[in-house]
Amino acid sequence: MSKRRIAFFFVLILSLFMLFYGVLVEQFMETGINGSILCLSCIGIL
Amino acid sequence: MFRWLYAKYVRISVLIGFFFAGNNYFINGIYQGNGKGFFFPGLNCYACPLARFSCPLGTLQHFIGIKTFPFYVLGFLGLIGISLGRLVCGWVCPFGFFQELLYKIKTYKIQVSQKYSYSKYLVLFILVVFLPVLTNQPWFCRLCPAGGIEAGIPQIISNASLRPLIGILFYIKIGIVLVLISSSIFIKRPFCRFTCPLGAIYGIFNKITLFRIRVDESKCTKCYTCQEVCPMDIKIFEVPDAVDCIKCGECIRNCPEGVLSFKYGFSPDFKGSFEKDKNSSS
Repeated sequence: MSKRRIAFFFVLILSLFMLFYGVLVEQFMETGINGSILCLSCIGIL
Repeated sequence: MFRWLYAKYVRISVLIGFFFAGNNYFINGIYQGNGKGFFFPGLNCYACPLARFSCPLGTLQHFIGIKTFPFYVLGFLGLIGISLGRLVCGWVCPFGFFQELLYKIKTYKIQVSQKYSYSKYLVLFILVVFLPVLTNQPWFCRLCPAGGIEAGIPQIISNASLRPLIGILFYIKIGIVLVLISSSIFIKRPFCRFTCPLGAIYGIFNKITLFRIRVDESKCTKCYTCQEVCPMDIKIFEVPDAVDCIKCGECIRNCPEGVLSFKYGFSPDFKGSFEKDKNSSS
């Protein structure tokens, strides 16, 4: 198996794990809530 | 492979489609639907009143700021990266397309060496990782010109109650927007090449992604047409899996010898490998 394939499958498995674990620990919800508030960074308020 | 992708107006149609899919122009105020739990693959300000999806970079900084490992966003970026690489920059990101349109203005053009493109990794480390860890604030968002154009300026125009709240960073951001707009007229996609941290992340995956450009080196005359038409100013015949290649297909469409093509999958595709493939199969 070439190095590229090994790297591909390593990143694939790692990414799938992180995505599903992220959903499991409610980071999906956190993303939704955080994205729904007006953060005002865009107008430069600290 | 993917010959239909080379047609002149396919990419522009896809870019416009994603622009309207990622932004909600038919409601007033900030969009707060379920879409915000998902990511827009390109740079699309998540605090924008019009954005339907979250920005992966904004979310990444948020999780870094609250000292939580960003599993969800890194998983998403990894999956997009290995399946498409920087194709997202060429086919999805409305901000990159905006710079391409500005470069079409006929005037004096400046060629900037590709060696400066590593500066975006510095931006990624300082503004997306280091400063958010230190201050708990999304520093890239505060300076992001895409956020300035898509969210900051429209909000200040549409919402008078926000105007007294404007801080000094807003004027710095407007300055960055103006510099970017003016430089995009003279330099090919300057933000994508030298600054964009999201492009820097996707670029890492260009070496292992399934979606690639194949070069038949035996037929290449090195006429440099591919570099002339490339929005990222890459010599694709030298480095087919270049970190900065956004896989827009302009080189494939304009190559006079027809030596370039898209491919998807694992088969060898590096320089000269096309001939090797044919020899090995015969």
